[in-house]
Amino acid sequence: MTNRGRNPLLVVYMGALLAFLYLPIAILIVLSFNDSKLAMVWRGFSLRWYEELMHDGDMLTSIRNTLVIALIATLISVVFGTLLAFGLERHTRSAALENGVYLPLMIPDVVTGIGLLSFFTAITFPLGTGSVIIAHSVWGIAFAAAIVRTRLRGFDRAVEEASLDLGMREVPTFLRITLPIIWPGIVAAALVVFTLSIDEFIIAYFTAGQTVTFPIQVYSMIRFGVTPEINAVATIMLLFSMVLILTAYLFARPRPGRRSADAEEPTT
Amino acid sequence: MSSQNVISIESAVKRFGDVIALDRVSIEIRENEFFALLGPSGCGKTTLLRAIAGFGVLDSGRILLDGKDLGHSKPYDRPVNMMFQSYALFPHMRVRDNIAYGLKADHLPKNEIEARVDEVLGIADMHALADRRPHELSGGQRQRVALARAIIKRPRVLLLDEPLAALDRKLRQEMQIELKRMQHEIGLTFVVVTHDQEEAMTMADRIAVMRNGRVLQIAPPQELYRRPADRFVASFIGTMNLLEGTTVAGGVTIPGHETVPIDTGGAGLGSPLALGIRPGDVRLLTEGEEIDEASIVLAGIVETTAFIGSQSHTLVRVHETAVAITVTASASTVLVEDGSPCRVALPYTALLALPDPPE
Repeated sequence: MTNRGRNPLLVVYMGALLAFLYLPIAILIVLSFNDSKLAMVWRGFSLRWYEELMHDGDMLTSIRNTLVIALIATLISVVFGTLLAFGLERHTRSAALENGVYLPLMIPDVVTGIGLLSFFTAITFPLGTGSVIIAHSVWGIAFAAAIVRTRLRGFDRAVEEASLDLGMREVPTFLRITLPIIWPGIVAAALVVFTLSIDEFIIAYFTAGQTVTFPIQVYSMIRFGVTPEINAVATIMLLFSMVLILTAYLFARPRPGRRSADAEEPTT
Repeated sequence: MSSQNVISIESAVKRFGDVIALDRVSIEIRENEFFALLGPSGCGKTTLLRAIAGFGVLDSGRILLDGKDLGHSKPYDRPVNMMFQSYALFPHMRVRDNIAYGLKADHLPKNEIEARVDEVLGIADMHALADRRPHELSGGQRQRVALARAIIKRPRVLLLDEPLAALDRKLRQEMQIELKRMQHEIGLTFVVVTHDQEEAMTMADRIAVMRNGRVLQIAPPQELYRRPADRFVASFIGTMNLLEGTTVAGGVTIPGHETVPIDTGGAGLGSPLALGIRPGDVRLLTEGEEIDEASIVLAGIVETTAFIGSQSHTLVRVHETAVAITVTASASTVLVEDGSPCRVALPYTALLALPDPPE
């Protein structure tokens, strides 16, 4: 399998494609350690932009706002999304309801943003952290419902009945049996919603009022030119997101061994 | 109500929309009995089992346990346990914790739980696998864990929903005997739901045959086989040859033959009634052979003969009735070639009067 028909043109093409995908990010990471204000000049390795970041009050405030928003929106989304997933899986066969629930995922963010802005204005809801939390929960709930739903689909309800039959009441049955079995789905949903929330710009921009979230702060900074501090922020973001996504992936993927155990083997 | 009945089901009715799943079902189940609910899918047997466990409320009728009406009590308040068809093992728990679950639900002291789990692990022969998770077990092992989990609380009645359906044929036969042995050993009342008549016949002390939500007959296996209540039971339990007839005074007539003197069980004159006979009771006559017994003798053609070990099954196509008659005989007796003409004799004493089952 080593040199069988390996076309040098294809190798070049593949390299170019990978470069196209990852070079900008690589450059960003390298420049975040550049001891120069000018992006085009390499003056040696330095952590000064990271240090500057730590003393940038506006930036830190925006990060704090974003984390608060993401945490609360995730909590709301996971609780209501899980309930919604149960309802859809067990208490309805309505296709209209089902599609209606997932629609927020398909609506363009700009439309959602404008819609929410008009809505909040109409009911004179104050714009700020609270309104962004609600806005992010709109698609967060849909996402969480979709993810938890996949976990529920393969759920054998007989295990809940077995628990009741063995003397456990409804609430302890939910806590000891149902929740542990769907837990990976809930964790995955939380990680996905959290990751999407912390870098969501468009909807937040429409609904944040005077509150500055982290993506809005970054956007306002680059209007005065890209400073290396932004590279440092972006690098930290990248690392953070990758850890979250990787964790979500590990939780959501099917357990190895489940499948093979279904095969019938003789007892010994 | 006799005190030795553990379960009394009195005129239980359950509807799902327009479908009647249970139609005035009454059954008494005795202490330490191995009782089978047998019938084709959709006959209501699983609905009944689940109603005993507390899943699904009856529309009318009662289920009594030791003389007390279970009413609308919840599954966790009933001293019965169930082994589910899918086994329903808790996938996130080890074998040991699956088995201990029912005792933990009752908040028993830790050392007692451990002692009883150990004991049941022994009965199920699962000591070596106690720390495995369900997905690391084979089908037969999972079945044993499910059984162990269901018996550990020493329920008044153990309910088993198609306990062997998920196993392959060879293992199923082993487990039929194993289940029976275990029931004797632990002294429990077993109620098992199955669609497999062979399984029910092998294991059960008594069998209730169900169809369309009704109980057609409740009897021990031998009696079900020898004296089936109607043609459905007769055909469901083993093979039965059927001849369509009509009731007349003093018996049943089939076209072209004299009246067969047989008890018609109160069927009205002129009503259709089938005559049934087991393949082993039919005699295949050699040419010129006469039979002493009073019998219906039919002429036909041998269609096929199959040899199964020491026995042969011969299928005879009878001319006048266009029905096929299966004859079982010891393989060494008559050898007839396919397509050759022959006669079969159906002794009166072996004939059964079989009405249609109630709709």
